[in-house]
Amino acid sequence: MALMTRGDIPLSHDPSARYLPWLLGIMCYFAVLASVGAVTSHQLAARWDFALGSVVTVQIPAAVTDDADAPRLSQAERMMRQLPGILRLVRVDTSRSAELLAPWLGAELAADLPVPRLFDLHFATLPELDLKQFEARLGELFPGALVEAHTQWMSHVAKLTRAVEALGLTVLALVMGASVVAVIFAVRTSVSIHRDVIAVLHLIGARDGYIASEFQAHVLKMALRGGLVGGLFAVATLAGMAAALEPSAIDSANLIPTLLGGLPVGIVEWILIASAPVLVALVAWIAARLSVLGALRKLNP
Amino acid sequence: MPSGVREREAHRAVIQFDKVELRYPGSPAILSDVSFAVEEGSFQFITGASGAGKSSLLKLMYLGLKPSRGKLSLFGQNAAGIGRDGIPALRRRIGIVFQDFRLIPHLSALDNVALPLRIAGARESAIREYVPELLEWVGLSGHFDALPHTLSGGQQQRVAIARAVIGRPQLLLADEPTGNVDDGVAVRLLYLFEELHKMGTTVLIATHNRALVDRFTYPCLNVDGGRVARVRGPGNRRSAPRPVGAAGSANASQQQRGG
Repeated sequence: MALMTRGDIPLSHDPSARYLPWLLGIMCYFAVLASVGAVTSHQLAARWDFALGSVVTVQIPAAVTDDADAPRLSQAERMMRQLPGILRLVRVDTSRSAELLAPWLGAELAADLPVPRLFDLHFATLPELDLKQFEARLGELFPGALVEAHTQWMSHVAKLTRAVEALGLTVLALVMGASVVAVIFAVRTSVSIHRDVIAVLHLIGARDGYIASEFQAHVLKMALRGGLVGGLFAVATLAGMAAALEPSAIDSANLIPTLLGGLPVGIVEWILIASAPVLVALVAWIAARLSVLGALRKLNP
Repeated sequence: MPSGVREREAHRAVIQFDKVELRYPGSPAILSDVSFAVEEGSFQFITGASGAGKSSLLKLMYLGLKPSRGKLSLFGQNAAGIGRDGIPALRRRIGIVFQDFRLIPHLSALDNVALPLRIAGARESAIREYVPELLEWVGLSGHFDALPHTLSGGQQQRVAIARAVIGRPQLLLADEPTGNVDDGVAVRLLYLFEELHKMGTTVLIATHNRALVDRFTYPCLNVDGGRVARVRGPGNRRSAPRPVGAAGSANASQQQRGG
C-alpha cells in the first residue's frame, strides 16, 4: 500500500525527483562502507582479544652454554608455573626461533646465532599480576630477562580498532542525519510547489495522513532506487578491496590477511550490507512523513 | 439511514449563523451581523452582486474561513469547537462546487471526479462503476480521460459539479455553478442539484443570475453590503427584501417549517 502512488499530487516532476535518488544513493554507499568498517573492526578487536590477549611472552637472554644455565632455567620455569591463573607454559624451541630468523639471516647464520629463549605463558583471563615485578624477579636470575604482555601492545591496537569502529558509526550517523536533512528540504519544497493541489485535497476532506502518504511513497521509491544503486556500488568497492588484499597479491607471509582476517563475507555482514539501503529508505520514509505533516500544519494551521 | 431517524432530523438546522461577523484585520467587515439558519433537506439560493460576499459566506460554511465574531454551527456542531483534526470528517459531508472549479490539473476528468471517493477510501470497483455514470449524466461521456485544460469552461464546470456530488454529500455548496454554461445547460445542472436534493441533500447555490433563480420557487437569501437578508421565503416567489436578524431567523425557520 505504501509503495502504491495514487498520483493525486504530481511529485514525479519535482526537482527533488531528480537529485534525491542520487543523493540518497551516495548516502547509502557511505552507509554500507561505514557499517562494514564498524563491524569488521569490532570483530577484529574481539578476535585479537581472544587469541593474544591472555598470552605473556618471557624472553631470557641467550646462554653461552645451555648446560651451565640449566638449574637457573628450571628455577625460572618453576617461577613461571607458579604464577596465579596460568594455564599453560610453552617453551619455544630454539630451532623454531632459528627457523623464524632464517629468511632474514640465512639458515646457517641463524642456526649459529645465540638466540634468546622464549616462553609463552597462557592465562585463562588477562593476567592482572604485576609483570614489572615478575620481570625484576627473573632479572635476578637472568639479567636482561624480558616479560612482554601482549595486552600492552593489544591495548593500542584495540584503541585503534575501537576508534575505527566509532568512526564508522559516526559516519553512519552523519549519513543518516544528512539523508534526513535532504529529505526534509526536498519534501518542504514539494509541499510548497503543490500547495494548490494540497489545498483542494484538504477542501475535499483529505486528512493530512492521506496527503502525507503520497509524499512518503514517493520518497520511499526514490530512496530504494538510490539505495539499491549505492548499495551495489558499495559491494563492488568491497569486492575490489578484497581482491586487492588477496593473499597471493601481497606476499607469502600472509601478513595483511592474517592481521585483517580478510574482508567480511559472513552472513551477518551480508545482512548488514543489504539492510543499509533499507535503513536509509526507512529513515527517509519516516523523515518524509514527519516533515510533510509539519509542513501541512504550517500551510493550513 | 432509517426513515424514522431521517424524519426526526428533518427540521434540524444544518447551518446556523448567529450574529456572525467576518473581517480581515485592519479592513472593514466583509459580513456583519449575519443570522440565519439553513434547515436540513432544504434547497436555497444565495444571490447578490459580484463581490457582495457570497463566496465568503460559503467559505465560512465549509470552514475555509472562521468567523471573526458570532457563532456558527454546522451539523449541530459549534464551528469554533471543531479542531484541525475534525475538519476533514466534516468536509466529507459537504460537496463544494468552487467558482474557479479548482480541478487538479494533471488528473483526468475521471480521476478528478473520483477523488472524493478515493479520499473516503472507496473501492476501485465502485469508483469505476459510479464515476463514468455521473460523467455521462453531466454530458461528458466522451471526455473521461481529458485533462482539465483541454476542456472548455463549461465542461470544466460540469467536472467540478460531478466531483462535488459524487460522494452524495449531506450538504452541497455551489458557488456560481452555472456561470460558464448557457441557460439550457444551467437548467439541466440545476435539475441535477434537484435530484440530489430529493435524495435528502441540503443544497445552497450562490449565483448572481436572477433569471435562473426566478425559474425556481426555492427560498432565497440575498447578500448586500455585508448583510444577509431573506428575499424570498419558501412558496413566496416575490416577498419584499427584509433584513434577517436573530428574530428574522426564527421567523424564517418557522416559515420553512410551515412550508
